[in-house]
Amino acid sequence: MGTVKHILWRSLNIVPVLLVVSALTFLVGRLTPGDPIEAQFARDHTPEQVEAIRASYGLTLPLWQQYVKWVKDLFTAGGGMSIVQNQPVFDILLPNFANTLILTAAGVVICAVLGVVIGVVAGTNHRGFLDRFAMLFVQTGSNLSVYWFGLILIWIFSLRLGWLPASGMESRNGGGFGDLLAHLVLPGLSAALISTLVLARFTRLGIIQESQSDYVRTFASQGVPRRRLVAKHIGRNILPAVVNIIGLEIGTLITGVIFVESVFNWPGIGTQLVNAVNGKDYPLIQGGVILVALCYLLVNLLTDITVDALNPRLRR
Amino acid sequence: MTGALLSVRELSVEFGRGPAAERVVDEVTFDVRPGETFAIVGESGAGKSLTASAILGLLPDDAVVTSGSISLHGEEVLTATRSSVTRFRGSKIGMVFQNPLASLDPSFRIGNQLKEIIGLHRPAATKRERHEIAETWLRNVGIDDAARVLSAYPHELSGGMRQRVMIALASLSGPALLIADEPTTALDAVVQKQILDLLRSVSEETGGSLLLITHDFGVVSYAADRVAVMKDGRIVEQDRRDRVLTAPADAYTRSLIRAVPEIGARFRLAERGLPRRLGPAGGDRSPASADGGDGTAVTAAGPRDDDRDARPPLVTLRNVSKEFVVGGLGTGQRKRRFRAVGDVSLHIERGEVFGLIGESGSGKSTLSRLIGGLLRADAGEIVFDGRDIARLPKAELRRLRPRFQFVFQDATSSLNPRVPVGEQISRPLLRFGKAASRAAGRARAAEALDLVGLPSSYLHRYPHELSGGQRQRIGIARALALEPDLLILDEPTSALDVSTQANILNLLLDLREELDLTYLFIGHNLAVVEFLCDRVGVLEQGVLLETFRAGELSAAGRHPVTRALLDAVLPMRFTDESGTRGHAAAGKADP
Repeated sequence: MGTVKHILWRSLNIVPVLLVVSALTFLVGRLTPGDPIEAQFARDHTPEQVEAIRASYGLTLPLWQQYVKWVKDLFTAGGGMSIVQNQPVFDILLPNFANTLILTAAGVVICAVLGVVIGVVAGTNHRGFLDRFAMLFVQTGSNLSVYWFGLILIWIFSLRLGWLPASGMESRNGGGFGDLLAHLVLPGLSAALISTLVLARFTRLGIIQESQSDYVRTFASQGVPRRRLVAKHIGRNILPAVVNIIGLEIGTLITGVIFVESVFNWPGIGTQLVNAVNGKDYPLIQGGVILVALCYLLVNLLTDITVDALNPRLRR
Repeated sequence: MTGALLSVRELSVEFGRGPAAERVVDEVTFDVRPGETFAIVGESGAGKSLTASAILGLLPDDAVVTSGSISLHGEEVLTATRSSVTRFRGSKIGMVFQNPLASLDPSFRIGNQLKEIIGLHRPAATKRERHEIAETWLRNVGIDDAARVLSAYPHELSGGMRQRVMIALASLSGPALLIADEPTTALDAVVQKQILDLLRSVSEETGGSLLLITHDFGVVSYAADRVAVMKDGRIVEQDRRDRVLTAPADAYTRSLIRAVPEIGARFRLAERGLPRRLGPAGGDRSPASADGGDGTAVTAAGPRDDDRDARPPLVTLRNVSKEFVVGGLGTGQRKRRFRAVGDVSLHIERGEVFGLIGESGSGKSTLSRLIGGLLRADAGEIVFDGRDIARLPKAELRRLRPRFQFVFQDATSSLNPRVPVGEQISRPLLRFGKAASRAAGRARAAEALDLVGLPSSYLHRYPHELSGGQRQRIGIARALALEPDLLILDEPTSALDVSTQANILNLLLDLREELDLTYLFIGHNLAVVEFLCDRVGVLEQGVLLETFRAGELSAAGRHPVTRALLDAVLPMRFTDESGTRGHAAAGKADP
């Protein structure tokens, strides 16, 4: 009973955070210089007409009324009308946002698997050759730029070896799930690069620290083999930390994939947001930021609940 | 020696390699015979734990066995291959560690952990059998509600319970040798005795030997058959317990035994007209020269008992209560209150040492924090020198703060590791306006160091450059620099070695005399409390059960809780003509 209540309470906490985020997004958009209506219509319309257009978008109202209207639109009118594309914002964003989420998910899977594997290998061979080698790799990798890494991947695996497609989300004549996976590998790898290395570091550190803990000594003194110590006892005890890092990294990935999308021509939300910023398309920018923020908060919530559930001290 | 179960020969262990290597265990030789309890006793850094770890091949990564041999049943252990080491771990040698709070895996239920070990030693046992063995063993170690404990996580059990589980875990395979490394150091006195009894009865039951590593002569005297005394990596003396305790051959052993506080020691010293001092005769304020020295000693019985009543008490508590609230809105837990201190009334006279005793969790520390103004009481009044600090506005309480100062148990973590100690002493002086300039603050800090017997060159040292005893002296100097009236000492010596503890206790007695201080002393070692304190208060579950003069500690009519605490003190047992000296002598001292 207590846990259900706790989860409900935590979910409720998202509402005020979203309100603050929405207010900030709204203000940042309005308070920076530039006027989308001027830019788009001033050339072939009279000042009176421009003013009328501005009024039709509700941009002549006081700021707080504009904000209230926008929040209402988020629920009822698909996030308001895009100024440039003249369509409801969510109609424009959602299909591409789904693509962004697909790429993010691929990144998360790659990050979780590779990060944990590298971390475990390094941590269990602490101070050994494999540890040093893995850490060298992590050090180097952490300093790579995502663009450059993506281009190198394309050069090797698409241009040189021809194993994997270089860009886009599906082959020209369409394709099934396998085709999608093939297209996901390279952008997924480059998106996950930094997060993988962060996770590897934490996993390694966790294993090294837990190896020195008293309970590991207890079970070692009872003759429990090293392999089992790592797999059962150490693994279970670093699991909450690993889940926590993965949760944080999902947040980084959601925002990070936007760069990768431009390298790999992935039809995600990234290009749209960049265009929206250039055109000062307020509703579109705000809608995009809100979507990303909402995902970020949901991921955080899920992470917190999972981590709590994994910790016997916080159960019951 | 023939027939030894465990035989350690000229074992040496070094930290690091090459010329910089530090030898921490130096040609140690001893035997553990079947069925006996062998104790290795020594102060911190003597190498006793490393010796024990070497037996199981569990040395830290950077420690290496450089020479010697360890054999069990005549079978060499040191050269055993990795897989055979694993084989005799647990099955032939079991080990119980010092810190029961961290020695069990926090993420698994007790049952799961026990059954894992059972499965390891008896792969053929069925699930049902494993469960039964686990349950039986929990009963063997004195846990009645085995079913509950099996399904509990370690954090749901008390320290004593966890140590019982550890003992079950280490002995359920019936090892020939059980190694217990400071098994009771982290536990309070009452539980300590139960655990020692249990260790002995368990090893009797399995017919195995017990190798006990400890720094506490009380533990040795209570539980050991034979003893080896270790100092700086060497065994300086080993013999039957009674010989080592009554007729120690080595000077170091003698100095250690003399440093052990005993119930009634103070009154025996008074009878013989000797100063109230622990350790080597006279004792010295400087930690460097533990032997020799004179020191202006206080006569043992506390001569100021009579002339004290002329002045009003320094601290008076009337019906003080404090509740803590756990859980509540936003935590997902039900809001609960529990009473840490309930309706306590007491007074502390000027110049008096007032002792507070009680089991852990009885509210001693909370009460001391209330008196020291670190917590605010919910009800009642705490009058310090005529002013009720429970109701004083913040600014005025702040002005009063220099007059009551704390010295805490953990000297290491109560000092800032990145600031030289001189700075740590002089900063509060500047803050409270006790020193006009930084130079004046430094001068005062040097004076304070002088008071606690440290040279002023120590002002520039960092805490990690000091020993445990020196750190505690710094803690006392920091408190004294502010010229307090009341010093609140929260178990200031319980983390220290016996000889260091003796030095600190002697120092405290000197300082009280010299500076006309009043102490509130919290302790769980009753021998220490009796030695130092004039009056003693007994707390249980936040309630003050009784107060009495230190000399009346063992008098008839003491509250059962006090009796239990007293019974838990491990007496130094001497089998010479005087019989057990502990209780008998204390009884004689009753007025």
